[in-house]
Amino acid sequence: MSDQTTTAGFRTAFAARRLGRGPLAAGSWIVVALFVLAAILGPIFVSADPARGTNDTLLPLGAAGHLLGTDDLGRDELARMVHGARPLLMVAFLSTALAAVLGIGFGLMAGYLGGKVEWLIMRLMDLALAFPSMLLIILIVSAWKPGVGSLVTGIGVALAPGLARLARALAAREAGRDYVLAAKLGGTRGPRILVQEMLPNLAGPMLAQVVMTLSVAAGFAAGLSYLGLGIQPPTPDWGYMVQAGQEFLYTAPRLVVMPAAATLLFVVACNFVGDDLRDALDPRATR
Amino acid sequence: MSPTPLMEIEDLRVEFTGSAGRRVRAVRDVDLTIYEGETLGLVGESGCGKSTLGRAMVRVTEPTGGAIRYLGADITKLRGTVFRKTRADLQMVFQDPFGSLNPRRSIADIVAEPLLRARGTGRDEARKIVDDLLDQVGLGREAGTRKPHEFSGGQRQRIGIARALAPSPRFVVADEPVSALDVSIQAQVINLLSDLIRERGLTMLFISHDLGVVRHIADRIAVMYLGQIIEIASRDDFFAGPAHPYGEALLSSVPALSKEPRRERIELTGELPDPADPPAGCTFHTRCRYATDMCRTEAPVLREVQPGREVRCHLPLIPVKGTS
Repeated sequence: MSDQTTTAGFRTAFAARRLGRGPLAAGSWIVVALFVLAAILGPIFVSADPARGTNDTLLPLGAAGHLLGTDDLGRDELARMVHGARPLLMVAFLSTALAAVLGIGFGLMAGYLGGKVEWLIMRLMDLALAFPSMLLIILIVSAWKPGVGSLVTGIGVALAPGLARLARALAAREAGRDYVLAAKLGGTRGPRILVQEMLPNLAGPMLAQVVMTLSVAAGFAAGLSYLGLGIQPPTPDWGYMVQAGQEFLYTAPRLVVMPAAATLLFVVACNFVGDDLRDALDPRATR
Repeated sequence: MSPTPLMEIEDLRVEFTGSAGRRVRAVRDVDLTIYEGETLGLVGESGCGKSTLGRAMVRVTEPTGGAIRYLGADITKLRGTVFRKTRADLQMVFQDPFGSLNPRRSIADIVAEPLLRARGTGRDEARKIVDDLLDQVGLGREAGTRKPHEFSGGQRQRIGIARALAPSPRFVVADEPVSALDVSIQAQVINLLSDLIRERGLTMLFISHDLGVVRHIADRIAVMYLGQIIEIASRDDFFAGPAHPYGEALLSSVPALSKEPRRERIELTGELPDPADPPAGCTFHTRCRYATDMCRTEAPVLREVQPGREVRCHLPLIPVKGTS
């Protein structure tokens, strides 16, 4: 146990060098980076207006001026794909951030305080987990109005309990360590002990789990837009594009396949990036 | 010299709920007074509750019952800010040199923490105090900017000592501060600790299973067995001849110095009994070579058999005399 703390410093220092080993891990990092870049910078390079319809409907791939063709309303599909990355990534990142703040916050408190507070917090988390996540999110989104705010809140709340469980377990372990007792003896208050002493020591394993959560959040975001509960048209969004393209599944399958494949690729890549982070931060945990 | 009591422990109990809801009584009916300026050595084998007692005295572990009086005030009743600030007078040097320093923080931050939080010292002043302390423990102030993993076990214990002394405590619990260190380093750290404690006139509870170390540093000695104090004596009295058969066995395991008379080597037979289910009568009777029927049925109490010597035994190994 003590040799784990001995190497904590080295672990952080060398963790970065262990990232992205192997084609799968390296490829996943690249995919995630490309998606993020595309979402941020893409609209600068793709000049076509994703919302402007033309008479050139359902042009095929590689058509003049429309690299990925056009949709049923003659809108440029490349522009729609590039602009459509933004809402998905934004909702995924924001809702993951919310889940992390809620989950890690409650988990830390539960693990550190123990006793009745821990019982209450963790039973609330169990309650939230007992609901199917999708149902819980739909409940929250439809109680409010569909849009980025409600989507982020719904997904964030639904994903917080999973992070809370991990944070509680890690915090309970750290809370018994002598450095935490020493901080108590030094007169440090509870909230400061959580943030200053314990949180940095949980950050590694939590980070990996947070990235995994990002992939789940992206999946939910796409699923909810597909159901029409996410970003509202005319803003392009992959989930909604899949739904709209369904009608032309046989005549123009690319309208469904491209946004669906992009979503899948992002979700899977996030997962592998999370795996890679976990392996790099704690090389003994797997294999 | 009339010694003033600094810490008075009365009827202290610490219980844990073990597996299957069994109550393990780690510390039972402990009455102990520690006088201002003295170093009390607390000895006993692993699992006897000596660490738990030390931790309970500074309320890092919450006692189940009893009182801990610090300068006459019961600290088990304190709450909130008053408690946090009062308790900073009581500090601890931990056993594990690796787990007791936060790997993510710099040495200066670690040592300054009690000054900033419990004493309300300003950052600049705290900085000066930390520099001085790091010089005094022999690491040098340059050590402040580094992280714990850059130091060896012995150096880390020096940092732990600096941190414990930072808020100018009056009482320090040293919980086996050198048992995790190489023998070659132990003496340096022990001498540093005892010098700093004596220079500042501090009071210390020194917990150890190593009688050699305790003999070197302690003024008085308390022996623990299965959660109870079974003997209290001055260091010289104890090493001249323990009053409790368990103390006798412990002492016989220490190699004798050449000038001393050879001691008979007493080997304890049997295992340490289960602390969740201690034997009836005297808890030591299962391993005591003098045990009689009375010992098996009647629990002895801790009583003063000679001035300043207390023992929990029906048949003490020293004559009973001169007590009130």
